Amino acid sequence: MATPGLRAEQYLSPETLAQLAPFELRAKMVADGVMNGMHQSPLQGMAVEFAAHRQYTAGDSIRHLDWKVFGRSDKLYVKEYRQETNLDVMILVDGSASMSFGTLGVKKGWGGTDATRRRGAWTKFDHATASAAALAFLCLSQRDRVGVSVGADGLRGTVRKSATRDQWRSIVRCLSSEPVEARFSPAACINQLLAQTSHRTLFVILSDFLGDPEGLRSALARLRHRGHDAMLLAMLDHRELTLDLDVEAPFVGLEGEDALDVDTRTIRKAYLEELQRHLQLIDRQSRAFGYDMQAFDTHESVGPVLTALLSRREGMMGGGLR
Amino acid sequence: MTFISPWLAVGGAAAMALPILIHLFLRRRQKPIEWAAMELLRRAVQQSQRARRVERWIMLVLRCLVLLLVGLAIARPATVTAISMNQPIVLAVVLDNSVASRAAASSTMPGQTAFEAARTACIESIRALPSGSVVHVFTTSGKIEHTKEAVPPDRAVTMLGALEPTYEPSRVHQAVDRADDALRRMTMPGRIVLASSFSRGAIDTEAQVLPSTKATLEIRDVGSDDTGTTAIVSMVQRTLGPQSQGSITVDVAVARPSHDQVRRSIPVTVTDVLTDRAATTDATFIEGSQQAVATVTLAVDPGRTEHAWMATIPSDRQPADDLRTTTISTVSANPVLVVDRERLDIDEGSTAQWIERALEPVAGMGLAHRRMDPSDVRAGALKGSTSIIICRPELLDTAAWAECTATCESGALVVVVPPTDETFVEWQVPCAALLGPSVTIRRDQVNHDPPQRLRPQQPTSPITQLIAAELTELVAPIEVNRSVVIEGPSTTVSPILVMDDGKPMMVLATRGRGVVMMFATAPVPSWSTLATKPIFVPLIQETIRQGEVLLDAGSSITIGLGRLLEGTTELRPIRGSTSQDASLTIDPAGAIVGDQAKPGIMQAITTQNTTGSSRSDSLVALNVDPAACDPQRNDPARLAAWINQTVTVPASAVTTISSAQSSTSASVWLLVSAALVILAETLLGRTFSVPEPKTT
Repeated sequence: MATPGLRAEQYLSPETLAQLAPFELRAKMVADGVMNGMHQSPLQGMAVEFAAHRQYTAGDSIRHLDWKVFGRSDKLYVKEYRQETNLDVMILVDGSASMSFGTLGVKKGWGGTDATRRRGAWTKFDHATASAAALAFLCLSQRDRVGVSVGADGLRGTVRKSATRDQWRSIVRCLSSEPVEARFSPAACINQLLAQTSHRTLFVILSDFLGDPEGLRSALARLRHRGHDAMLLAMLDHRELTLDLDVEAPFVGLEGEDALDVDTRTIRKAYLEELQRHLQLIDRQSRAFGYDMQAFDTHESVGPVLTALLSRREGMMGGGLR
Repeated sequence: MTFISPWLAVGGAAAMALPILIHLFLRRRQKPIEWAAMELLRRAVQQSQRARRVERWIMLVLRCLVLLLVGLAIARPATVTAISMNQPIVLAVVLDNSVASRAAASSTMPGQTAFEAARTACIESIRALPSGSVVHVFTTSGKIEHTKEAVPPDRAVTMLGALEPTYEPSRVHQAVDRADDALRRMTMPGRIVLASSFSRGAIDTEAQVLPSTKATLEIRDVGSDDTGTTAIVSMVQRTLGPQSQGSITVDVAVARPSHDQVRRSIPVTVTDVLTDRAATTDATFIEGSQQAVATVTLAVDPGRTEHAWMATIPSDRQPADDLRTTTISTVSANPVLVVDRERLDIDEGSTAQWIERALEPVAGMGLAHRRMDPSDVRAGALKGSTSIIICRPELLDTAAWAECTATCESGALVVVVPPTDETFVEWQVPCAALLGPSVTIRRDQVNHDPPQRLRPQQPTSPITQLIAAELTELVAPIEVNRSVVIEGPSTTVSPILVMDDGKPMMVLATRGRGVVMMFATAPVPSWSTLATKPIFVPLIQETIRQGEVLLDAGSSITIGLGRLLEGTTELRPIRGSTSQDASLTIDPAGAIVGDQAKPGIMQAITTQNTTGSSRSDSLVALNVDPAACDPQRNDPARLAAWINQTVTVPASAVTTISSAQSSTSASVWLLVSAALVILAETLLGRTFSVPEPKTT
């Protein structure tokens, strides 16, 4: 149920759209598509776009032999083609309690979620939902099928993949109505999503990834095992990234952790080192499975960081893979 | 080892608790902060907390140490110089002989001034010296150094006995400095005795700083602990025109500093300082009141033109109390100028003749007068004149009116009587201008048929105040046949006498420092019967006398509390003059230029701005600097801080202060140590500090 007063358009500012428009979301791996789209298909020989030559090996169908080459060189080469298909994208947004952290003041017209209203600040969940909405809008503009899920200890709200005209509004409604609570279990959420997924899909996971890295690794391993692509977008508040506080006070966890007396001046250095170490570990894990990972500062705009991520993905795909 | 200000040392030690208390206070005040990355925080805390705890302890200790060292430095640690009781020493006696020492001493020394008590204290200290000791004598005012070399005690006592208090402010700082210098030149151990009342006049604890001395300083406090000093606050001459009465009545207000619930009478004496004639009346404070008034009547010589009275109260502890408050009243000795042409009016006599006759009717009560032709009224012709009666205004030209206006504005009385002859000269315009703006005099005379009479109830006026009781009877027979009409706002002209029709017969206006009066009718039989009636003589004489009193209203001065008369440029001693007395110059701000003089009665010489001439028109009672006379006790806390921050000085007690020299050096070392600790704390703080956060 959409929260009264919220409009889907608030999730995507004109600036964000302008920054994302030149890019297309491409699956790094070849995706299974059921509709004609712009993504490579693993099914070769069925399409019109020539991909490459390769030497004929026993067992190859002689239908694909390039007879012109054979006539000129007396060698057998097989023609390979590449078929463009649609991309399936599933966006998973972390809806755990830790995502309700935020220190940036909310400005009029930013939109927001339940977390915004409770904290009166632009939270990590707000940033994640805004990014998810932007990505969904981009996919839908490419006629890709996109779905979204909000999860914590399990999936809480899901909009199934679709490329219909109303899909984006459904996605926004889902993102804005789900509460933020409990702890995030990426493994449980991915398991549930995999159970609903038949085609190869690009999973975009938006979370602060502050939980147990082992659980995340396990979830990514299952995605890899099923042959899906994934993008990890780490949403972190600016204060989490810098600890720019000079206080000595008890710190209380948002997910029920015990209070901890902390003098930020004394532990800042160690904290920043720990944070770096943690983010590097998440990055290493995602790269190990061939996935992308990008950290977002919630005090910065959604557009530039998403643009940088998509630009990087396009560069990695390169012309040779098409 | 001791401290000159041990309480500050204790305070410094107590201040050590400040950083700890601040730490605890801030810690308690912090509200819990919600945080998402708790696991990272927990790991960071585990890593760094232990090391940081040690660093924080080090910083805390350093900060506490800084406070302790600063506290010890301010407390001025000192080593008491032990002087053997039998060892001969050099004693430098510093005696307070400032004007403040003329005040009464402590109640334990009744009947003595502070100077006498201080001198006695010094002599006691000298007599207690072991044999072989020598003495230097210094005073805080006048000549400071009285002995070039140390003298035997007996000779020092003789010298002290010959000393007198001065009328000068205290220069205790210089005196103690000189005493310290003298002791430095001696090989024997030394000690300084400072004997003073320690009143605000003697010691200005805000402006003067007690110099550091190498020698031991002994404080002899002889000041009065009685803070209930009663003082004269004002003196107002009630009866105006004293010459005609042969006596004056003066209200003297005295005040006590607190609303005591005690009924108390104080005799107030008013003395004519020129004749030494005095009268005394009690001023009675009722319960709960702070102020009381004594009304004193004093006989005066009728013929005198200069008077000065002073009020005294015997219980006043002011060192110069007899001159604290003096009101000056002056009457000019200049003759009255009657401006008219010399002529013989066979029919009825001229206005000038009638007026001159009124000025001199009774022996000893007359006023000197001089005739001046209207054509002689030119620029500068009226210089020095105090009272001018213009009987022929129609004969004055523009320059003459300008001279009259200038003279009046500089502080003269001008009386105008309308011309009796028919004239076509428009004298009314300049005459109205002399009276003031918006004043008009109608050109046509008004003939009254039947004659106008004066109202029985006349307005109250200072001019007719003396004859106010008989005024109704005196104005009854007057008939006015002819008059001019004077019109003007009541803020400019005020009526003195009013006719039945409401028109004024005589008006008064002020002009600069002067006064203008005008008759609406002339004192000649064709105009009115005024000149032939009994009121005429007192009216004309009071017009001059009270008019001059009005001129001098601004010169009633309360010396010591008020400012000098505006325009006073010089003060010349006229009473109690000695060879040391000399004229004093007054600067434009009203302050005396140069050194303070001995109190006395002075002539105030005023320079008139318009004419540049000088004249003596008032007397001034000169007091010495009131601040230097202030007999109030210094605030004990401030005095203690002045002496050495902690020493309380009981009356007639001897307090030995340890060597200031050694304590200063120790304090310097402590302060240097504190600075080093601060430096160390800063450097360590930088080493321990966490670098600025970087965005990941």
